[in-house]
Amino acid sequence: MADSHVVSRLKHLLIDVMKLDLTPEQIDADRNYFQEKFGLSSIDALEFMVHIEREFDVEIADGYVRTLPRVSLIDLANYIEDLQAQG
Amino acid sequence: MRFAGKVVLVTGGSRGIGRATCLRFALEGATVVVNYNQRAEQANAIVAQIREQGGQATALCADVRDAVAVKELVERTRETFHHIDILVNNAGIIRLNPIPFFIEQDWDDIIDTNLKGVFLSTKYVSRVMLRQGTAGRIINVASTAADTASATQSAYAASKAAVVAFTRSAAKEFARFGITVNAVSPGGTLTDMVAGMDISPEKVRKIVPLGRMAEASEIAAAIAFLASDEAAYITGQVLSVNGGEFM
Repeated sequence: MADSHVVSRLKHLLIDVMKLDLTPEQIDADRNYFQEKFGLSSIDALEFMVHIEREFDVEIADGYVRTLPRVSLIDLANYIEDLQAQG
Repeated sequence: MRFAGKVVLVTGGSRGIGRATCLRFALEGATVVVNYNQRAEQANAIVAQIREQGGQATALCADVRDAVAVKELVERTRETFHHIDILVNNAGIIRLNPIPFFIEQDWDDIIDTNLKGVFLSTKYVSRVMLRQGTAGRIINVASTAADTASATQSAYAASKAAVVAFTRSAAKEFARFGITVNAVSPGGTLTDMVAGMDISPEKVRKIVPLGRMAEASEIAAAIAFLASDEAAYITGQVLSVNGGEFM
Protein backbone atom coordinates (compact mmCIF):
# COMPACT_ATOMS: atom_id res chain seq x y z
CA MET A 1 0.00 0.00 0.00
CA ALA A 2 1.32 3.46 -0.89
CA ASP A 3 2.32 5.78 1.91
CA SER A 4 -0.01 8.61 2.84
CA HIS A 5 1.23 12.11 2.10
CA VAL A 6 2.09 12.72 5.76
CA VAL A 7 3.95 9.42 6.10
CA SER A 8 5.91 10.14 2.94
CA ARG A 9 6.95 13.59 4.22
CA LEU A 10 7.85 12.10 7.59
CA LYS A 11 10.11 9.53 5.97
CA HIS A 12 12.01 12.21 4.08
CA LEU A 13 12.24 14.33 7.19
CA LEU A 14 13.54 11.43 9.24
CA ILE A 15 16.18 10.60 6.65
CA ASP A 16 17.31 14.25 6.50
CA VAL A 17 17.34 14.89 10.25
CA MET A 18 18.94 11.59 11.24
CA LYS A 19 21.18 11.56 8.16
CA LEU A 20 20.12 7.98 7.49
CA ASP A 21 21.65 6.05 4.65
CA LEU A 22 18.25 4.71 3.60
CA THR A 23 15.66 5.35 0.93
CA PRO A 24 12.04 6.05 1.93
CA GLU A 25 11.10 2.66 0.49
CA GLN A 26 13.40 0.94 2.97
CA ILE A 27 11.54 2.37 5.96
CA ASP A 28 8.58 0.33 7.13
CA ALA A 29 6.18 2.96 8.42
CA ASP A 30 4.13 0.41 10.31
CA ARG A 31 6.85 -1.54 12.05
CA ASN A 32 9.91 0.65 12.46
CA TYR A 33 9.84 2.07 15.95
CA PHE A 34 12.09 5.07 16.27
CA GLN A 35 14.40 4.06 19.08
CA GLU A 36 14.61 0.41 18.14
CA LYS A 37 15.27 0.99 14.46
CA PHE A 38 16.99 4.35 14.30
CA GLY A 39 18.58 4.75 17.74
CA LEU A 40 16.80 8.05 18.21
CA SER A 41 18.19 9.77 21.31
CA SER A 42 16.10 12.24 23.29
CA ILE A 43 17.95 15.17 21.71
CA ASP A 44 17.44 13.67 18.23
CA ALA A 45 13.76 13.37 19.12
CA LEU A 46 13.70 17.06 20.02
CA GLU A 47 15.29 17.97 16.69
CA PHE A 48 12.87 15.73 14.80
CA MET A 49 9.94 17.30 16.65
CA VAL A 50 11.16 20.81 15.83
CA HIS A 51 11.30 19.93 12.14
CA ILE A 52 7.85 18.34 12.31
CA GLU A 53 6.37 21.46 13.91
CA ARG A 54 7.85 23.64 11.17
CA GLU A 55 6.98 21.26 8.32
CA PHE A 56 3.38 20.59 9.32
CA ASP A 57 2.64 23.82 11.21
CA VAL A 58 1.43 21.97 14.29
CA GLU A 59 2.25 22.26 17.97
CA ILE A 60 3.23 18.96 19.53
CA ALA A 61 2.09 18.37 23.09
CA ASP A 62 4.71 18.40 25.86
CA GLY A 63 4.38 14.73 26.70
CA TYR A 64 4.52 13.45 23.15
CA VAL A 65 8.28 13.81 22.66
CA ARG A 66 8.81 11.30 25.48
CA THR A 67 6.64 8.73 23.73
CA LEU A 68 8.29 9.17 20.34
CA PRO A 69 10.87 6.38 20.72
CA ARG A 70 8.04 3.90 21.21
CA VAL A 71 5.80 4.88 18.30
CA SER A 72 5.91 4.05 14.62
CA LEU A 73 5.79 6.46 11.67
CA ILE A 74 2.15 5.53 11.13
CA ASP A 75 1.34 6.40 14.76
CA LEU A 76 3.14 9.71 14.38
CA ALA A 77 1.38 10.48 11.09
CA ASN A 78 -1.98 9.80 12.73
CA TYR A 79 -1.08 12.09 15.59
CA ILE A 80 -0.09 14.88 13.18
CA GLU A 81 -3.27 14.45 11.16
CA ASP A 82 -5.31 14.69 14.37
CA LEU A 83 -3.51 17.92 15.28
CA GLN A 84 -4.12 19.34 11.82
CA ALA A 85 -7.79 18.37 12.00
CA GLN A 86 -8.10 20.22 15.31
CA GLY A 87 -6.75 23.28 13.51
CA MET B 1 22.42 49.64 16.95
CA ARG B 2 23.34 46.07 17.90
CA PHE B 3 19.77 44.96 18.53
CA ALA B 4 17.81 46.71 15.78
CA GLY B 5 14.92 44.47 14.72
CA LYS B 6 15.35 42.17 17.72
CA VAL B 7 12.62 41.42 20.23
CA VAL B 8 13.75 40.91 23.81
CA LEU B 9 11.67 39.65 26.71
CA VAL B 10 12.96 40.64 30.16
CA THR B 11 11.33 38.94 33.13
CA GLY B 12 11.18 41.04 36.27
CA GLY B 13 11.86 44.07 34.13
CA SER B 14 10.23 46.72 36.29
CA ARG B 15 13.16 47.52 38.59
CA GLY B 16 16.80 46.99 39.43
CA ILE B 17 18.87 44.96 36.98
CA GLY B 18 15.75 44.16 34.95
CA ARG B 19 14.93 47.83 34.50
CA ALA B 20 18.50 48.69 33.50
CA THR B 21 18.47 45.77 31.05
CA CYS B 22 15.25 46.95 29.40
CA LEU B 23 16.66 50.45 28.99
CA ARG B 24 19.97 49.15 27.64
CA PHE B 25 18.34 46.97 24.98
CA ALA B 26 15.99 49.78 23.96
CA LEU B 27 18.94 52.16 23.66
CA GLU B 28 20.52 49.71 21.25
CA GLY B 29 17.44 49.37 19.07
CA ALA B 30 15.59 46.34 20.44
CA THR B 31 11.85 46.08 20.93
CA VAL B 32 11.47 45.40 24.63
CA VAL B 33 8.81 43.44 26.49
CA VAL B 34 8.95 44.53 30.12
CA ASN B 35 7.53 41.69 32.18
CA TYR B 36 6.38 42.51 35.71
CA ASN B 37 4.36 40.81 38.38
CA GLN B 38 3.14 43.49 40.80
CA ARG B 39 4.75 46.77 39.84
CA ALA B 40 2.61 47.88 36.90
CA GLU B 41 3.29 51.55 37.51
CA GLN B 42 7.06 51.09 37.38
CA ALA B 43 6.86 48.86 34.32
CA ASN B 44 4.66 51.36 32.50
CA ALA B 45 7.07 54.15 33.43
CA ILE B 46 9.92 52.25 31.75
CA VAL B 47 7.80 51.71 28.65
CA ALA B 48 6.96 55.42 28.58
CA GLN B 49 10.64 56.32 28.93
CA ILE B 50 11.62 53.99 26.09
CA ARG B 51 8.88 55.35 23.83
CA GLU B 52 9.85 58.95 24.61
CA GLN B 53 13.33 58.11 23.41
CA GLY B 54 11.88 56.75 20.16
CA GLY B 55 12.03 53.09 21.10
CA GLN B 56 9.40 50.37 21.08
CA ALA B 57 8.28 48.62 24.26
CA THR B 58 5.32 47.14 26.04
CA ALA B 59 4.68 45.99 29.59
CA LEU B 60 3.13 42.58 30.19
CA CYS B 61 2.09 41.18 33.55
CA ALA B 62 2.89 37.57 34.46
CA ASP B 63 3.95 35.75 37.58
CA VAL B 64 6.92 33.65 36.43
CA ARG B 65 6.00 30.96 38.96
CA ASP B 66 2.74 30.31 37.11
CA ALA B 67 3.01 28.11 33.99
CA VAL B 68 -0.28 29.32 32.53
CA ALA B 69 0.70 32.96 33.01
CA VAL B 70 4.15 32.46 31.48
CA LYS B 71 2.71 30.61 28.50
CA GLU B 72 0.28 33.50 27.96
CA LEU B 73 3.09 36.04 28.34
CA VAL B 74 5.08 34.30 25.63
CA GLU B 75 2.06 33.90 23.35
CA ARG B 76 1.14 37.57 23.70
CA THR B 77 4.71 38.57 22.95
CA ARG B 78 4.76 36.41 19.85
CA GLU B 79 1.35 37.61 18.70
CA THR B 80 2.31 41.25 19.16
CA PHE B 81 5.85 41.23 17.80
CA HIS B 82 5.84 37.98 15.74
CA HIS B 83 9.14 36.65 17.09
CA ILE B 84 11.30 36.49 20.20
CA ASP B 85 15.06 36.73 19.75
CA ILE B 86 16.37 37.26 23.27
CA LEU B 87 15.12 36.10 26.65
CA VAL B 88 16.55 37.55 29.85
CA ASN B 89 15.53 35.50 32.86
CA ASN B 90 15.96 38.15 35.49
CA ALA B 91 12.95 37.87 37.83
CA GLY B 92 14.18 36.98 41.27
CA ILE B 93 13.61 37.51 44.95
CA ILE B 94 15.68 37.18 48.10
CA ARG B 95 14.71 36.50 51.70
CA LEU B 96 17.23 36.13 54.46
CA ASN B 97 16.96 33.93 57.54
CA PRO B 98 19.09 31.38 59.36
CA ILE B 99 18.17 27.86 58.24
CA PRO B 100 16.59 26.74 61.55
CA PHE B 101 14.23 29.71 61.31
CA PHE B 102 13.72 29.73 57.56
CA ILE B 103 10.02 29.80 56.79
CA GLU B 104 9.04 27.00 54.43
CA GLN B 105 6.84 29.30 52.38
CA ASP B 106 9.78 31.67 51.88
CA TRP B 107 11.90 28.75 50.67
CA ASP B 108 9.20 27.75 48.19
CA ASP B 109 8.73 31.33 46.98
CA ILE B 110 12.45 31.76 46.33
CA ILE B 111 12.88 28.44 44.53
CA ASP B 112 9.68 28.91 42.53
CA THR B 113 10.57 32.44 41.42
CA ASN B 114 14.32 32.15 40.95
CA LEU B 115 14.51 28.63 39.54
CA LYS B 116 11.11 27.41 38.36
CA GLY B 117 10.54 30.82 36.79
CA VAL B 118 13.70 30.41 34.72
CA PHE B 119 12.59 26.95 33.64
CA LEU B 120 9.08 28.05 32.65
CA SER B 121 10.20 31.10 30.68
CA THR B 122 12.90 29.08 28.94
CA LYS B 123 10.46 26.26 28.19
CA TYR B 124 7.91 28.46 26.43
CA VAL B 125 10.31 30.90 24.77
CA SER B 126 12.49 28.08 23.47
CA ARG B 127 9.45 26.61 21.71
CA VAL B 128 9.08 29.90 19.87
CA MET B 129 12.80 30.16 19.11
CA LEU B 130 12.96 26.58 17.85
CA ARG B 131 10.06 27.13 15.49
CA GLN B 132 11.56 30.39 14.24
CA GLY B 133 14.70 28.52 13.27
CA THR B 134 16.83 31.60 13.87
CA ALA B 135 19.64 32.16 16.35
CA GLY B 136 18.30 32.80 19.83
CA ARG B 137 19.88 34.11 22.99
CA ILE B 138 18.91 33.19 26.54
CA ILE B 139 20.63 34.95 29.41
CA ASN B 140 19.93 33.93 32.98
CA VAL B 141 20.71 36.21 35.88
CA ALA B 142 22.49 34.17 38.53
CA SER B 143 24.48 35.58 41.46
CA THR B 144 27.87 35.33 43.13
CA ALA B 145 25.81 33.81 45.95
CA ALA B 146 25.99 30.62 43.86
CA ASP B 147 29.76 30.49 44.46
CA THR B 148 30.32 32.19 47.79
CA ALA B 149 28.96 31.19 51.16
CA SER B 150 26.85 33.74 52.99
CA ALA B 151 24.99 32.97 56.17
CA THR B 152 21.20 33.40 55.94
CA GLN B 153 21.22 33.15 52.11
CA SER B 154 20.74 29.39 51.85
CA ALA B 155 17.61 29.44 49.68
CA TYR B 156 18.81 32.27 47.47
CA ALA B 157 22.26 30.70 47.01
CA ALA B 158 20.75 27.29 46.27
CA SER B 159 18.36 28.76 43.71
CA LYS B 160 21.14 30.67 41.93
CA ALA B 161 23.52 27.69 41.90
CA ALA B 162 20.68 25.71 40.34
CA VAL B 163 20.25 28.44 37.73
CA VAL B 164 23.91 28.03 36.79
CA ALA B 165 23.46 24.26 36.42
CA PHE B 166 20.27 24.80 34.42
CA THR B 167 22.11 27.26 32.17
CA ARG B 168 24.79 24.69 31.29
CA SER B 169 22.29 21.92 30.65
CA ALA B 170 20.10 24.15 28.51
CA ALA B 171 23.15 25.36 26.58
CA LYS B 172 24.02 21.80 25.66
CA GLU B 173 20.43 20.99 24.73
CA PHE B 174 19.89 24.00 22.48
CA ALA B 175 23.35 24.37 20.92
CA ARG B 176 22.48 22.38 17.80
CA PHE B 177 19.58 24.75 17.17
CA GLY B 178 21.70 27.90 17.27
CA ILE B 179 20.37 29.04 20.62
CA THR B 180 23.00 30.08 23.15
CA VAL B 181 22.32 30.01 26.87
CA ASN B 182 24.56 31.86 29.30
CA ALA B 183 24.39 33.39 32.74
CA VAL B 184 25.49 36.67 34.18
CA SER B 185 26.47 36.42 37.80
CA PRO B 186 26.28 39.79 39.52
CA GLY B 187 27.99 40.58 42.76
CA GLY B 188 26.52 43.18 45.08
CA THR B 189 24.55 45.58 42.91
CA LEU B 190 22.87 48.83 43.85
CA THR B 191 19.22 47.85 43.56
CA ASP B 192 16.10 47.80 45.74
CA MET B 193 16.89 44.17 46.53
CA VAL B 194 19.96 45.06 48.56
CA ALA B 195 18.62 48.35 49.91
CA GLY B 196 17.34 46.70 53.06
CA MET B 197 20.52 44.73 53.74
CA ASP B 198 23.20 45.66 56.19
CA ILE B 199 25.93 46.58 53.70
CA SER B 200 28.09 49.53 54.73
CA PRO B 201 30.57 51.19 52.32
CA GLU B 202 33.38 50.03 54.65
CA LYS B 203 32.19 46.44 54.39
CA VAL B 204 31.97 46.70 50.59
CA ARG B 205 35.51 48.07 50.38
CA LYS B 206 36.73 45.16 52.47
CA ILE B 207 34.98 42.50 50.37
CA VAL B 208 35.17 43.92 46.84
CA PRO B 209 38.62 44.62 45.35
CA LEU B 210 37.20 47.36 43.13
CA GLY B 211 35.88 48.96 46.30
CA ARG B 212 32.26 49.52 45.37
CA MET B 213 29.04 47.81 44.44
CA ALA B 214 27.99 47.50 40.81
CA GLU B 215 25.55 49.81 39.12
CA ALA B 216 22.60 47.94 37.59
CA SER B 217 23.64 49.35 34.22
CA GLU B 218 26.98 47.52 34.49
CA ILE B 219 25.17 44.21 34.85
CA ALA B 220 22.91 45.15 31.95
CA ALA B 221 26.00 45.79 29.80
CA ALA B 222 27.20 42.23 30.41
CA ILE B 223 23.76 40.84 29.59
CA ALA B 224 23.68 42.86 26.37
CA PHE B 225 27.12 41.56 25.42
CA LEU B 226 26.00 37.93 25.80
CA ALA B 227 22.91 38.70 23.71
CA SER B 228 24.95 40.31 20.94
CA ASP B 229 26.46 38.85 17.79
CA GLU B 230 29.91 39.32 19.36
CA ALA B 231 29.01 36.53 21.80
CA ALA B 232 27.80 34.10 19.14
CA TYR B 233 30.42 31.49 20.04
CA ILE B 234 29.84 31.69 23.79
CA THR B 235 27.40 29.26 25.38
CA GLY B 236 27.00 27.51 28.71
CA GLN B 237 29.17 30.12 30.43
CA VAL B 238 28.82 32.26 33.49
CA LEU B 239 30.05 35.83 33.21
CA SER B 240 30.77 37.12 36.70
CA VAL B 241 30.38 40.86 37.13
CA ASN B 242 31.44 41.32 40.70
CA GLY B 243 34.27 43.84 41.03
CA GLY B 244 36.66 40.99 41.82
CA GLU B 245 34.69 39.81 44.85
CA PHE B 246 34.87 36.24 43.59
CA MET B 247 37.72 35.05 41.34
